[in-house]
Amino acid sequence: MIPGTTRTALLLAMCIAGAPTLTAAADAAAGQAFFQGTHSGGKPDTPSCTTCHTSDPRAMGKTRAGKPIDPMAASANPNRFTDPAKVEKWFLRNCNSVLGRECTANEKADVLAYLKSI
Amino acid sequence: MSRLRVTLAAACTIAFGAAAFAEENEGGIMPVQDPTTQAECSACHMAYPPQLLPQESWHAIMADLSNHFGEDASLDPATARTIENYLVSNTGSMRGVDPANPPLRITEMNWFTHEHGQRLRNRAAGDSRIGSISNCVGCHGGAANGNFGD
Repeated sequence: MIPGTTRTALLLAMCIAGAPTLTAAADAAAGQAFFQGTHSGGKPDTPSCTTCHTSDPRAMGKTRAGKPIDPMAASANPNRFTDPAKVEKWFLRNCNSVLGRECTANEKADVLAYLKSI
Repeated sequence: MSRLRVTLAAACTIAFGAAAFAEENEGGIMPVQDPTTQAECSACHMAYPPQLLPQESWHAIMADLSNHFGEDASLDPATARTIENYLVSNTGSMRGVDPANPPLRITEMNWFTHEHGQRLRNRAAGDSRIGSISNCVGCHGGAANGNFGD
């Protein structure tokens, strides 16, 4: 017989462990629409991911200061998405720049799914 | 060999060595030496040498990284502090700069506008290979190594 508190803790742990699976129903098509789309609410010079990354994630992008950006598609750049801290750092900055807010977990999962699918 | 002669030889080596370096490095500015500053700043643009702006400008720029020339360039506080310390301790005050209202752009500095007139600005804006007047290496191939010679 499992004591009540332990049972609650176990349930909670299962819910937390299960949460990523539930939210990770990543949708590459939604990610594509998000990546290619024009957004509002962010900074005027960066209305879209494509402002710097171009509409082809397999191609080189360019920062507004003129510096090349390596391709975002994992197929064109094996180093992409290998460093979670780097991924979160740039989602935070660039979502603020493009949308004026942080991206949701679902938005990030969708974009990653898109960039890993092409 | 007398001690005097050794000293003289050493002095000459230093003097001529320095002269040769200065000649090679004409237009030279010490590039960023701090690895954190180099890595973080050069993610989007050449890591601009601290000497190109006065201390007041670097303080102001580092105080508002979430609005960094039209983009969010936020850093964790520890990293930002490291970079700010490096920048301000490798430059000084500059003549003609209002400390209460310092320029935020290198391209606004008098020395910069003197060196880069309208013709060069138009060229930079109109040439997609350069893209921006703030892209030093678009014209100065050795800029990242501190060589801004034409």
